[in-house]
Amino acid sequence: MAAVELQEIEKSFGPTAVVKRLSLEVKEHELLALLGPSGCGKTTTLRMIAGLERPDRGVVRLGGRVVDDQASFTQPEQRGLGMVFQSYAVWPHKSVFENVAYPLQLRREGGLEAKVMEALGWVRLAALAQRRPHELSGGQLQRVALARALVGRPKVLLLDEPLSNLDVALREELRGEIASLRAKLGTTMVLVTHDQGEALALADRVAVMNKGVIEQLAAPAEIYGEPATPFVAGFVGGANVLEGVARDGRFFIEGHAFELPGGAKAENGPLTIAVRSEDVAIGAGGPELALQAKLFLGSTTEYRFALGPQVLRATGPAKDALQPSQPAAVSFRAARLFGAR
Amino acid sequence: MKRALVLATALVATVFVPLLALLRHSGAPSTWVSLWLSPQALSALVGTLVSSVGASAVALLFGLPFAWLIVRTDLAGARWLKTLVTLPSAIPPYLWTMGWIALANPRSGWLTLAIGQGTVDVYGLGGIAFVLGTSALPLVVLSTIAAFERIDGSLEEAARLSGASALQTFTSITLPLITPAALSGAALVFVFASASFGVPYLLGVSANPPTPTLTTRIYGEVLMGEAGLSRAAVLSVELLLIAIVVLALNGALAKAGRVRLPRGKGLGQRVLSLGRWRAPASAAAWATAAALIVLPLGAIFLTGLQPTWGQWGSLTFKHWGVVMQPRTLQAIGVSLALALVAAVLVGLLGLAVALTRRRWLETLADAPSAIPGTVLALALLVTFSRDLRFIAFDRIAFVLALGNTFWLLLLSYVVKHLALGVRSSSDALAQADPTLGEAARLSGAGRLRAFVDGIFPQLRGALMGAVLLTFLTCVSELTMSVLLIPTGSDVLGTLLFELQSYADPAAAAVIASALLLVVLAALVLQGVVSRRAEAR
Repeated sequence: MAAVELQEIEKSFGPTAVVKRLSLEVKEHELLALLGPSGCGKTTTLRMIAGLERPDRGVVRLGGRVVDDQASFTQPEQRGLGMVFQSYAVWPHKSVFENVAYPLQLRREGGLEAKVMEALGWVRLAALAQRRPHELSGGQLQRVALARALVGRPKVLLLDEPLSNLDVALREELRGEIASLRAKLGTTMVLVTHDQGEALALADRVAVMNKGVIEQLAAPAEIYGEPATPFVAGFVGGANVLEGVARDGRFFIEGHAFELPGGAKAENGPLTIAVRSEDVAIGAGGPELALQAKLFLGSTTEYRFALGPQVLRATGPAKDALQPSQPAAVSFRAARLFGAR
Repeated sequence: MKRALVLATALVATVFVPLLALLRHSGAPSTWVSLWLSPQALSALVGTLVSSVGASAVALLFGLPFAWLIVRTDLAGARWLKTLVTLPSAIPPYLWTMGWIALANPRSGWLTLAIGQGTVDVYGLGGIAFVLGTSALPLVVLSTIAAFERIDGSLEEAARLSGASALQTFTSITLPLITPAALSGAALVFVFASASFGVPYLLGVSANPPTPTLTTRIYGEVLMGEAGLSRAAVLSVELLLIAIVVLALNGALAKAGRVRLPRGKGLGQRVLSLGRWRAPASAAAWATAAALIVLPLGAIFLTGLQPTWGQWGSLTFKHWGVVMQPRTLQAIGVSLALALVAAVLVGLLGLAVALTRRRWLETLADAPSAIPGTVLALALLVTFSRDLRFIAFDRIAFVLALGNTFWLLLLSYVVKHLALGVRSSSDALAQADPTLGEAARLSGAGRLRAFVDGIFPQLRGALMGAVLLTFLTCVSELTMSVLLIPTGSDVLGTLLFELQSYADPAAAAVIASALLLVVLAALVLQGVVSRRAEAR
């Protein structure tokens, strides 16, 4: 039985369709990431699971039970969920302890203090239990939010961009903490993020969303290795997505003809290909392109070639003699073909 | 620094030296307490405290629901309702009193006759608290609305996800978060009410039994001449202490800062859909606002059109002749001139203070606004009724005789409202983009020219707002005018006050109607101007 099930969910805000006939199942004990650019509908989808938004059409089930269809609606507080917000949402008028105790107080559960201190222990905040929120850093606030969301042992934990307000070092630290909490508690989690690294590192499965639909739903390795659409290749792999024409086994774009790598076959006609920057070979044959810019990135150097109005990014070794505005022969070592768009 | 010192010296000479003079006039501090505890003074103190607490309660009682309905629900016409319930602060409190006297005096009030005699009586402490509370409604409404708007929507959503119902979320999360702002608004209502003179005079002195407050008691003592003056000074010290204590408590409450709402707009706020309650809730809110605000104003207009006081027959303009009487015209002229000069001075001096960018000077210039008008006026009275002589260079003697002149009145208007000019200028300066002035300098403008072309246009809107507000407050000022007006002269406030309390309520209503029309026209004008500024 799926922990969360969305069936043909639709949601519009005014004239804008934000989520379009979306179906999705989250298995028990799974961490599923909703990954996509801002405005793709991922947060709206999460909020419909929480009951903070109502879908225009479709059914939401939690643990097999209908919590929202057009006829019935279960209030958010009765869904047995936990949620962590991007803005922390730690109540400024309550201490750390009071924040975490709140869900238990509402349920009038016994052993309140022990449970709260245990939850604070999970996020290593037991020493700060009596602090006020304005005395805490962003990372500590988000840990309070995490403890508060988990203290009632929810069946499903919803995470809405939980790390995006934190700086890089804290983000990595908290990412590790979420992973270890999950291992410890086995809670089902739905993570909304625009950070592909976060999604790939944490999730069992990733749903890549774009313009209100799921473009691909698969394990992280598959999403990265075998992107199903040009959008996934571009958004997750950071690949060059190039639109051109295939003719006689060659790929024509902006007047340049590239050999398709590895004897890939393509029917004559419009073709979109995705080429990772590390799969672009420089100085190994192929058409000559003008080097537009050279960005030193530490271990590697990124080269940007002009391809008409498009830009082709290539990664090369850090030390390379290639100079700006110097033409270089460019070819593809590997590419994914998507046919006509 | 030189400019700052000049401004500071002027402030000290016109506000703080007179306050010290008032202290000296009140005799030894050891004698204060026995006077404060005398039965007469004690009943005045009780009157002030009860009516001020009552006013705060009334403002909270109406202000909190209004603020919530306006910000957080899909109430019909919420924006217009906000305009209506924030209107009272633009209209002097004694005008509301006149309206409520016409409505609810125990003999011939409109409501009294409609409901039945003996049911309503606006005179006495209850009436004073009610009128003061409704006329200070905007203080609570605006601060509470601002707090509601700053609550991040996810704070409430987190409570729902924690298992709280909508109602539990409101009581355990939303309400505690807006409480500090609402209480701070209520504290300002208290200070406003305790310093008010016109309302407790009109509703307290002729009440049965008469109910004094500190301000009306001080006024009564001043009328008794030199002997009463020192008692008035002692009571002024008491009134000033009350204001200082309440403002200090309010400041401490704010600084305790257990609840710090993030700056700026709250994100992801949800507007509650009232559903089938929308129509009844909208009707109830609008009816309440109409009863509190439209009704008393309408009563003033109608009183001015009544053929005979107290009888609701055919309407007539015959009372309107009073507007053209020489005494009225003179009072209108004096009020307009004084208010105009005071407003411009408040704008210019406020800008000058803000431009020094010195916090201590801004605090110094802010302080007089917290001094009850009665106290400030009395301080100026005891200081400047005598001629002051200065001798410069051992040769030239100046005689400064401000007592019994309009100069003293003008001085009181300016220092009392200076804070308006200072705050608006300093807020606008803090937001102004200094690079516009720097760009002008690098384009070849001198310092003054760069300020006029680069910086001043960014301050103009806020400054004009402060000038207009000062003008509106001063043109109908009563509390200080009644103590400082030169013998035999009138300003609009004192004329209205005299007509209403002793002579001719119908004539008072006519002048009040004219004043209301001017105020409303000015507000519409300001609305149009600020909307055009927004559109740009």
